[in-house]
Amino acid sequence: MIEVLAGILGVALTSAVLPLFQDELRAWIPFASRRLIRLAARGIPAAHRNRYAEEWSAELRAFDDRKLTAFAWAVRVLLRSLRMRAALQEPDRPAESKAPPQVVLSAAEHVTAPMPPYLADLLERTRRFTWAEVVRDMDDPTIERVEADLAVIEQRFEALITKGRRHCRLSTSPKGTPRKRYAGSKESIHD
Amino acid sequence: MTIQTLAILSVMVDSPSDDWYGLELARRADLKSGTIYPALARLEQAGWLSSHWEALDPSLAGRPRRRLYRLTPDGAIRARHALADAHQRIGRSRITAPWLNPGEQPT
Repeated sequence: MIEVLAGILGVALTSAVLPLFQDELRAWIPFASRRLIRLAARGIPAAHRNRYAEEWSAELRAFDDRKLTAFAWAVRVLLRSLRMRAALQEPDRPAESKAPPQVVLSAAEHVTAPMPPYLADLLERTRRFTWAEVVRDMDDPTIERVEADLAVIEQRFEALITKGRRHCRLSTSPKGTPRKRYAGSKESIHD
Repeated sequence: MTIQTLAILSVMVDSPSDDWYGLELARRADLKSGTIYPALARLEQAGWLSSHWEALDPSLAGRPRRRLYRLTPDGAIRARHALADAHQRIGRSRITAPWLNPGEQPT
């Protein structure tokens, strides 16, 4: 009896919470994208900062309702912002594939972010603890790998949200923990 | 010159008098959007490209103005040379690759 009541309560709560969660996510992603763009602009020389902040903001708007795609785009812009800085400080070398110069960042310009697990080795080896420093030293294959991961994350989120909108059904796990499971997907979000 | 830069130039050389914004250029060059700005910045710094703000009133258009890129006359010439050089080098490397010669196996 208690389990049934807990199940009903869980269903009622999740059906109330899920739309709120989706609304929060929809509201948060554009905010995060704009924040990433501002962060990327901070990483380039001051003389170019306003121009690129405006340029990237305009590009961001072009994504319209594709909020997750816009978010992934903003992450890519951030990942490349230190190369951007090197490019803007190195005016005469568009045709050469030489490595960007070492960039000394002030503490205020360092960006801290959770590190993907596969970067742990690189982090340990370099003994550097900021995202900006690790990104600066990334070679192209590594950046490509990060971008590939982002694309997968993007696709997963979009699939989850699409399924969540149309086919979300609620279930109760054997342990009685309410959880949301998406039809046709092995992925679930535990409350 | 990187493949990415060559891809950007090849799109722009096809329509040297057209204006392009970053996202559209990335789409046409089949590059991941968000990654082309360093290449565009390098090309602009070197005088191969020029850029200007889109001429529109954001309040009337309902969106912010975009930054548009165009090949400079000098940049168009240099881009054509760079692309021709790249094609030549790719062709040469294929021809001289030992495993392409009959009877030889790759090591």
